[in-house]
Amino acid sequence: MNRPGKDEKIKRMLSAYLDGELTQADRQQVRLHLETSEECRRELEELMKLQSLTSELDFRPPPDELLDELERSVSVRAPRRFGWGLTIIALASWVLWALVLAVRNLRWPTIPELLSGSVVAGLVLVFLSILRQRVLERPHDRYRKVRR
Amino acid sequence: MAAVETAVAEVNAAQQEAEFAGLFREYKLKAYHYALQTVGNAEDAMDVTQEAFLRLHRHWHRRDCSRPFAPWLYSVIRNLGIDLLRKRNTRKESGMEAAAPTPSPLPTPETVAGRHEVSDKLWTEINRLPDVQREALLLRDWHGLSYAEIAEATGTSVTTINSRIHDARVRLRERLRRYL
Repeated sequence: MNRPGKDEKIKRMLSAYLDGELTQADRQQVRLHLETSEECRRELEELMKLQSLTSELDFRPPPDELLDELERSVSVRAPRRFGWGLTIIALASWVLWALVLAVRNLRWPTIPELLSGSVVAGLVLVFLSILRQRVLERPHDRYRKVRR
Repeated sequence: MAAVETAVAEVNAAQQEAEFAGLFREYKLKAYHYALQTVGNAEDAMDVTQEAFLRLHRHWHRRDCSRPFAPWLYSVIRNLGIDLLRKRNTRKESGMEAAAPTPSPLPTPETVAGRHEVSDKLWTEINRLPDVQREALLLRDWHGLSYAEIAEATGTSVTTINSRIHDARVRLRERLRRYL
């Protein structure tokens, strides 16, 4: 014969029992109680059926084209971020190296040096321009953290 | 020596890319469904899923391989989804979209399409649950996370998750008794 209070205590443990989330001692306590309480056994059976139904619920899959777009977007854009990081580091190193050379050899640059310097300066200007545009647009994009 | 270090770095980067690609393939559908549960429509769910994976990729070097991947992914999706919903509310409160009907944040039974009566009824009742109970229940039963993983993903304790799942099941059991 089980006391109602005991039944209520065990009932609150049934869900975790079903999910295998109880400690060994609690599991044993529930198991022993179930042998003597028909009401708790019935409740456990209903919870098991419910769990089975929930785990088999049918979600409509997203359209194939949306999934393809997701795959394409992530696979293309993820390495792009790495590429940007690498480009910034390379550009910064190049500029630093050129500055060190310029300070160490204080003289008029040769034409090849001027040409390569112009390429670097051009790239840096383009990069700074893109960076500025992004910074300026940032506060106006309400969904910048979510939508891309 | 530098060449060896570069080669090792390249191998590590390739391994990380392969690992990310594998987990992306494994979780993309589940991630989308969790995002759909959070934001309520397919387009936003897809955007949130995409952004979540991009963020994980950006912070991949911080990943602790000894811990499961799912809670990390789900917590990022959850935060992005909440952020989106909060912004929707902010815009509504500011009167920008006062005239427009507010979309339901929950997937309707039609959206998630269960054809059978029990399935439809179950969806209806799941959608009637409080948000936190529905979230914990689906993360457990449909996504297959443990209580500890759900607690980590939702930023709460295992005890709380235990209560939420229990309460959700008790409510559903009462409302669906004739189907059980």
